[in-house]
Amino acid sequence: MNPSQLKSDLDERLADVIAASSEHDDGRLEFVLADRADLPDAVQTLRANGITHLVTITGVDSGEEIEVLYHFLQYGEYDAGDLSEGVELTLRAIVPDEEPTIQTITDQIPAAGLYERELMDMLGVEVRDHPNPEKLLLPDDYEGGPPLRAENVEVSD
Amino acid sequence: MSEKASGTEIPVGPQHPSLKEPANFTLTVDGEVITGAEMKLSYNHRGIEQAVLSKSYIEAIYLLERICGICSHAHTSAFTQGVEDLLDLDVPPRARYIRTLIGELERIHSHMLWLGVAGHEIGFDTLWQYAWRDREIVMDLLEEITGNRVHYSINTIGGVREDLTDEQRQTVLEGMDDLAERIDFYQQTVPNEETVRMRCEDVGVVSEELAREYCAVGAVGRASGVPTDVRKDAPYAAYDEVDFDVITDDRGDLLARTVVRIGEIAQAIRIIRQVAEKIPEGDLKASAKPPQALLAQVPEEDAVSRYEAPRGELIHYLRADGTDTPERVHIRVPTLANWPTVVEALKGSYIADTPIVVAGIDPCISCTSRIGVETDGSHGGENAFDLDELREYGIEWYDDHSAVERPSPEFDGGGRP
Repeated sequence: MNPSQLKSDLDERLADVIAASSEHDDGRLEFVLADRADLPDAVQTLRANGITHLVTITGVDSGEEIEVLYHFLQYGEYDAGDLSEGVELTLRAIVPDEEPTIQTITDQIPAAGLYERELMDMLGVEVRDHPNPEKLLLPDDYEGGPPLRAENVEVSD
Repeated sequence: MSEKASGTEIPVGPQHPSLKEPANFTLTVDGEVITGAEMKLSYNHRGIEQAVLSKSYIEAIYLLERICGICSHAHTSAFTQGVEDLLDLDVPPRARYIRTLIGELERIHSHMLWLGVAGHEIGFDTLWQYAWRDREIVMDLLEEITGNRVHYSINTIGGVREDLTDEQRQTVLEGMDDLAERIDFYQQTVPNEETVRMRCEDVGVVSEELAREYCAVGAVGRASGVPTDVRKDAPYAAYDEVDFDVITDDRGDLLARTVVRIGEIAQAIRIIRQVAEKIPEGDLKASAKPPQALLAQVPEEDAVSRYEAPRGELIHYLRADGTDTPERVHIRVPTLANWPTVVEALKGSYIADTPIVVAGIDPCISCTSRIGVETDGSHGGENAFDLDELREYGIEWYDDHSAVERPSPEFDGGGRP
């Protein structure tokens, strides 16, 4: 299935939970969740359709809201040296600044555990029902706000 | 003590001499067998993702290059490819071939380094010395081409900064002839060598199911039968113009990871030979404009850039806000993706296997030469021993237990007071 086919297929399957979807020039697909509460359902749908590899989770604070991006990959298959390309896919959830919480997906994808801890450390997004919400990258005795929140990033251009 | 596991807890780390970042493992043991393991990484946060936000895209290349002293080319490639994606720049073929060449020389350098470290961890120092001696072939080539052994600084936005002369091409081909001979030797001897087999076969097993569940990447995934490779998934540089195989193994143990890495060196030699033989003539950069002029055109967009680093899939996520500095750069290094498999692989291993199981994913941890293994729970007391001692312990333990059976997979440490 090429990216366009996969996109139209997933557009249909995710119709109830997504607000928008797009295909980038390089074939990367992007789906924007209408409501972040639907994240676990959307992830379940992706997994049921063979998109099982979570690459990482990125948090971006734009100042008014925090975007949480779940980067997935549909594995390419290589048979007898044939080139078969994987498909990159981003699931975008919008988290409001005033209530920075999101549901865990570690119960579905164990690999998400570390990335969610990173998200909690760096962006201060509380990941609900995380099995081990300890600090991952920052020291245990770190005091101060999440380093990548807009108000904590000092940029001197 | 955690509630779920009974038995004695042994903290290992945070300092580990063979690796580049401090990490701590808390092992729960029953006798010699590890029944549970937990990991802690929060010791050395450098804040590079914050620092990069105050750098222009050009300056950022040199900052990001310093994330890692071994796969520095991986980081600059992933980053520059992301920026080129934002700017819609077409990198000229000659530059793509040079990037591929440096990338594969770096892969050999990294895998040979690992092979040496692995040899050292199992007390097989002959292998360590052999591997590191032969690694000098690629280090010399890297220095000759780029001027540096480690931080090559060859990538720039839109291309590369150094050309490859015909003379260098010849030297590369000659170097590959010498190295190919050595790799043939390793491919024949290492998997059959008695010490290697005793310490690696059936040790630290990661099943295919587990590797997929934990989204393992690189040689760790491939040694467990998961054929993932960004060079095939999303070919960058010149990878869609060269022939190579993705090496996999279905055993999932340390021996498989060793065999896969040596096989990948052989494939890297194959790629380098093709690159050196058919590198096209042409420009080195996509645009003759000065970098500042390019950066003035960065749109408000984001880009995902993936790269097959020696340790596995590396991703750089870039968000541009239309200025010459990025709004967000997020980096996921392969080691982070592979850590959970270490924790799982430690369970059911002997304490004596710890150094090689940890080293088995080729983690990037700190070279600081202390690891505290405390037997009485105090910090640095008389009963603490460092990793050199733990390695000695492992080697001696296997000397005394040469015919020891692997702990049974059903072993559970529970039930003891």
